[in-house]
Amino acid sequence: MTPKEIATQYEAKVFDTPEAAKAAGFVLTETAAPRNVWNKASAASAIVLKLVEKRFGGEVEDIGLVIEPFRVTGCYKPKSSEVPAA
Amino acid sequence: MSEDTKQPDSEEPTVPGVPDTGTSGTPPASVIPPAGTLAGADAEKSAMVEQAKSRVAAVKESLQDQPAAAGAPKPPVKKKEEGPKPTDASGHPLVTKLKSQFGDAVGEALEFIGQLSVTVDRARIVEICDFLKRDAETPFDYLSDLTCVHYPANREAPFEIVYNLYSIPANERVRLKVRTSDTIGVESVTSVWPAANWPEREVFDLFGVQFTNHPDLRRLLLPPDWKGHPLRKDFPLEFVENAWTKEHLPVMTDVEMEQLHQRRAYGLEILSVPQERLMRSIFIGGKEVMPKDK
Repeated sequence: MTPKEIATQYEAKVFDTPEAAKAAGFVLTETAAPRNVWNKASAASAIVLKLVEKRFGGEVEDIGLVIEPFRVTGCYKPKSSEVPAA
Repeated sequence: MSEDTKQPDSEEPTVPGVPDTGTSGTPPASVIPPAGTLAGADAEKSAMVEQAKSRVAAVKESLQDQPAAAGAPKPPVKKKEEGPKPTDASGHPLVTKLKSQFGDAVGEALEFIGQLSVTVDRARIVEICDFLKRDAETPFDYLSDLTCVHYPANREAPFEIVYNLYSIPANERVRLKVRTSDTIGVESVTSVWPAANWPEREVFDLFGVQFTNHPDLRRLLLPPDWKGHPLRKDFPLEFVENAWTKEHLPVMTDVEMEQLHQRRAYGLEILSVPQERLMRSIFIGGKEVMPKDK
């Protein structure tokens, strides 16, 4: 499975750039820059499953994945009560 | 003039009274029937040739017409037909037999392209395997494979242990599936098939599923101090490997590294560097040793 398919499988939003994720109110988590596509899929799967655990535990509102050509980053949207007022 | 150099139109002298048999292998003109008296098969053949010619001409014409219709929308791509789907196999004789013997311990039974899969209760896996092995009609005497699948979305039992069994006398196969978690694990079937020993170690190594009553449950493929289980879906393949390598390689100074590069460039003996000797001791001397080899 590709990182995009993995994100679809676990109902995670997909962003092209970290800036797009930040603009949508997501907080970036860990980043992985694997050297080949198989390791990229593995890294995406590992990142998403950690976020899925967070969502299942009710810690976050939504989860996402920033998929760039040579990098994968996880991101989540905090619960609306936790977002600091601007 | 020799036979080979004769021209087709050249006239040959004929001997009167001697029948013209023809030495060149072609029948004489008097033997060939006139065009109007061709045999029925030949007429049919020539008609077929004509038909084929007309078909080729029609295809050529249609190909010439295509550039004119280039702007026209393309016909929709034919959707790929869906493949076969698993069907219910609760009526299969083997499943019926298992259900009559074990009742609710036998769960869903599916058949997919002739392959029977039966989900069974984790607690009774050894009993069921033993029954299948000793069955008089289809003795499943060969454990073909034992493997595992990780379903992280299934929180209570994310691992599915798969037993592929084969009956050599009956030439039949069946696949048993047991759902479990890494902490609960499943009972080892080495008591039924001793060949399950290494496949169970492999599953333990790569998925981290515990097999109770296993005679020698330890990692099979990876080093004993490896952290994690690489075939789990939440395992980042590259980074754990790099971390392990980094941890186990000896630290070298810049000068030592430069010396090493120079020695390698000149093709000198690389193992004379003390750090490389240490590496060798880690990778070769520190490998797992089987109990019989000790």
